[in-house]
Amino acid sequence: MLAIVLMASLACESSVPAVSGVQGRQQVEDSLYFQDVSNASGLDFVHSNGMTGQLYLAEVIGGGAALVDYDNDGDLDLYLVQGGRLEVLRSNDPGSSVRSASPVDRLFRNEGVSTLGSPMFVDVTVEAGLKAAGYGMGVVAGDFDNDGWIDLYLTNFGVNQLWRNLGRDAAGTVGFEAVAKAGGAGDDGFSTSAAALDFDGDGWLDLYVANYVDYRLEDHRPCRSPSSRPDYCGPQNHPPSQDRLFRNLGPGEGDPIRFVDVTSVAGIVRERGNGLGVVSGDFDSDGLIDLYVANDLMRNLLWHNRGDGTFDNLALEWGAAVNAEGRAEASMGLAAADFDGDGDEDLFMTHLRGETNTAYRNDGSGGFEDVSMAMEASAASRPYTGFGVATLDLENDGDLDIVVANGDVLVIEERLIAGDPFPLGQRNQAFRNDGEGRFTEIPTERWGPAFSGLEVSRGLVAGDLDNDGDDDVVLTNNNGPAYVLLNRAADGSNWLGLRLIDHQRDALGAKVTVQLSDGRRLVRRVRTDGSYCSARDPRVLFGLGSATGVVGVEVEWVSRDTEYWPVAGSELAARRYHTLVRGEGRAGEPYHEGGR
Amino acid sequence: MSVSGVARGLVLLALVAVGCDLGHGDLAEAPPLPEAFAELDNSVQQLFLARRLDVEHVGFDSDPVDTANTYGELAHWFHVYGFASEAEQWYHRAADMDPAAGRWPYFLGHVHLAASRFEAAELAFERSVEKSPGQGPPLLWLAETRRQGGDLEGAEELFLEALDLEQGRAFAEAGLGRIALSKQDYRAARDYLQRALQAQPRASALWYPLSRAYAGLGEESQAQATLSRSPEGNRQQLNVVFPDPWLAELETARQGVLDHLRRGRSARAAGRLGQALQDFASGVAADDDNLDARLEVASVLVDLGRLEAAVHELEAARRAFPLDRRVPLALGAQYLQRREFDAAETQFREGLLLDAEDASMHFNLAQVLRSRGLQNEAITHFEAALIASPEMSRAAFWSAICRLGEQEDLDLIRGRLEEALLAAPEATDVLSLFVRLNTLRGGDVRDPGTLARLEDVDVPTVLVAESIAMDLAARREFGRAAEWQGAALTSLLATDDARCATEVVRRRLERYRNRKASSAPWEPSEILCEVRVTPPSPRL
Repeated sequence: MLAIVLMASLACESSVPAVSGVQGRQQVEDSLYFQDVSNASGLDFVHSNGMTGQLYLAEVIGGGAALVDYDNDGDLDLYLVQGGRLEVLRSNDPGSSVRSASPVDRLFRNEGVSTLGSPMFVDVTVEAGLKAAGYGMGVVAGDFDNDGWIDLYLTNFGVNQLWRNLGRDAAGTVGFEAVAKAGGAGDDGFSTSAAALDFDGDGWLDLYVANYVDYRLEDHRPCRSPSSRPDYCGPQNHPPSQDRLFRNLGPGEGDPIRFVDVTSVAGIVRERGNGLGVVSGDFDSDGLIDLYVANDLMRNLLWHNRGDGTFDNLALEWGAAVNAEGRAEASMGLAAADFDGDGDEDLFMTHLRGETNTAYRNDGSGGFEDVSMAMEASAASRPYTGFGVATLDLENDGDLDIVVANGDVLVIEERLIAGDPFPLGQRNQAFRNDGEGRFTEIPTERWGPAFSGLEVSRGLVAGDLDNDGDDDVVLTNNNGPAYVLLNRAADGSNWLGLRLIDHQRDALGAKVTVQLSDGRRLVRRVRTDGSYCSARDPRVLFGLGSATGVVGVEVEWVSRDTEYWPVAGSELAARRYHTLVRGEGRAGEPYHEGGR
Repeated sequence: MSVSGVARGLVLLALVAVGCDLGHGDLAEAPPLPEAFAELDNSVQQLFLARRLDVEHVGFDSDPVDTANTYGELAHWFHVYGFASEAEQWYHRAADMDPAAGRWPYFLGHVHLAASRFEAAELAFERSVEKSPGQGPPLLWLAETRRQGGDLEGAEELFLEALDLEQGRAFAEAGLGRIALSKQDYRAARDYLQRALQAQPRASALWYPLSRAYAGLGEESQAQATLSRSPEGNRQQLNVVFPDPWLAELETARQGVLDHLRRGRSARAAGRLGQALQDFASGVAADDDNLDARLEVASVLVDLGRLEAAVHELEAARRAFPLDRRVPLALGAQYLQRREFDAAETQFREGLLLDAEDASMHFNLAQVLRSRGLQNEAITHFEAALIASPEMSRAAFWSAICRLGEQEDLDLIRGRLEEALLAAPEATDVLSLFVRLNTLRGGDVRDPGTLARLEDVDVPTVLVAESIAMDLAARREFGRAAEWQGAALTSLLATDDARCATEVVRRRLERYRNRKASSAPWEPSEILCEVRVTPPSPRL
């Protein structure tokens, strides 16, 4: 009760002062939502899928990105997943010179915002001791040993890896070490997205790993398009795979991180699918963290947490397995968020060209309704194949907008005819929320080149890279460059940023409700999962719109106890980040009298 | 394509190859060959070249409607083989030549819709409706395009108008039901979808939206019951259909026989025999010179139990392809199945005149001869089959059976069976016969592994079941022997197959029950029974 929200650095117990966006805004036309600062920020990452003309399925699936404050200095660093050379995997010669020459995942440290308003990135991959040379797909960020330093779990086409953050050494360097056999969370299949969550409420972050198909290069055979041209194969050409759930036992017996595979005992083994995306959330408002899995061309899964360590797939019964037509779609990326402002988590997922992006509205008790047909975000998506999806409040007006990373998985005939050697490129899209869950597409010209160009986009993560109170975006492209896009639409707006801490780490799964001065209530969940093969900023941002301030904050922790802020003697000032630590809030009355 | 058609195609191909001017003066510009042209099946290539040449023949003095049709046929070809941009281009030309026709914008609408270009599709369908007032297809597809494009109000208006159509009412009701569902008007959704399903009960794609309507109305039990009827896979979902002569015209244009065959085989593999038959028949319609398609038609007819039709089809093929050995083989097999041994023998012998070393022909002829009691002749042809195809384990198997019937040397028979086992180690019939042979000889090859392999057969035949029983009895495990023998007898009694040696099986069972091994002579007629046996429970 006496805890005070201090106003120091984010790494300590409090907040980061907002950086003015004025300087950055001078560099960009007012009409643009985002400023592309990729070059200015020093980001020089180009994904390589290693294509050789064989059209291996794995080539077009990766890769993702993570926004993670690995060095606890208060700003978001950037981890980018690399592909590599598939032929090396096929050669079964891990020591070959080809492998040693393969590109690797890279970690970029955020050195703070330059005078031009752009974050500055420095490649610290070697310094941090990271040697993730697998054929990468995705990345999950989470503090799996509760030591206050973010660890990384990497999903690969091949053996997954767990990199434990060792913290800062005597020389001031923050480094990682590979955890043998991924601490028991190993998987040597075709993993894609994964989620870090505490499904059993024991304080340790568990792992759900989505696996795509049972596919080996040795089994590869080329497919053809309807017009008989060589093309990539779809998932239907391979058996579906088994997702895995790993329970974190906490450190012990000399192992800093210990996972145990509970796929069978938890009931996950009952379903196989072509898993590409996964997001956690409490979809029936029972206080337990559930899981939703996006499957490619198979029914999606909604694993309802029974609270006893087991799950039931209730997707079909709850109306979220197939679209309103009853068809299983080619689900790729997904998001769970309160799009319609009614306090529960709705679902939005991206799909194959010819299908729509699909939105399921939650009635709060796990009853979902496909509301896609009434959404422009769906109809306008039919010509595109969507992967990553970010939910963010572009203008800080209090409702969540949507950005979608598009890029096909099948050859686009027109582009092939035009001579494109990698003819899967499409433009990306963004949709503005009218506040009631209706979305309209933002014209392409309002975006920078990253949205008007034709690229094969995959990962998409939102996070406040410059700590100015709005979500920026990092976009990855398969066989193409990664982009850092700074949000300029929300410059000058009113906002509140929160970092939730539980067990010395980001309180993934905690539900945060903010009561605004104008009477609105905004609900967000602390998470890094969702989107596609990527991990977002774990902090939660609230755009206040026309509200002058915040009356109070309610936090429902994963342990199902609830606390309230502000506490006596403090306030939750707008335009700042605040750190809320479990056990330091108030119990009882939602908001203190002075705040009402 | 008929023989003369092939010849014409070759001539045309040659003319195209040399760039010959056919003397039509200023000819229309022929389209370039698509990049993937060379990868298409040869029959498809020829069809395309013929249509391309038709376009070249068009002159300024040609009738515009005829010209439109020529362009349209070429566009159809592009359309069905996935060359969307080329299809669009030539449909546009057809529409320009015959602006009064509603069908060209209609096809354009489908090209756009397939590419999810809703605005363009809507515009094209609107033009089609304008030019073909009262026609159901363009109206219904315009409505559906608007629905898929998110214009629910516009779609609803048209679907309501389409309710007055004689054809397509169910399609309109399905559309209205889905729109009502999108608007969360669950009662209307339920009513519309129910009516559509009443009209077309096979439209399984409607079960899921109907279940959502029930759920929205709070009728949970109905929702669950309806949900359970919704097919799990997209491919199993059937949509509401309506007669569409224009799309049928497009389907007719899909004259790539291989494409029909591919789709037909895929449908058959998925158990959709009706669709498979339709696809194979389309292949025959597209090119009645394609024997593969005709054989596939006959094969599916057999699968469907339409044996008369299958024989009729094969007899027609026999007349059309007198020199192709595949037809007498297939036709003879049908006669054999109908136990018309004379006719079967004729076909197989004629087939051997076409190819004296055809193992399958020898094998089937041998089966005919064996069925007629001509064991020695049968053995000759089984052996001929083995010479032609040493891996044909079934030939060795049946040769052994015939030799048994002829009381030949058991060692020779055993040698034949060993050959058969070598060629097909998992051939359970051979294996069981081998076990039985050893038992009869008082042999010592009753290794537990062999018995275990037999007992592990998923769906054992009478032969397998009896062999297990015989082996168990030889081990003096009479209880289990009686169980297996009893299971075999039960299955035999459930059939009407007179070839089955039921009495022998019954007598053997009695012996096992009396804790005696079987000394009954081996009955070849038992082998004929392809009756499947339900293993005794619990299975060991």
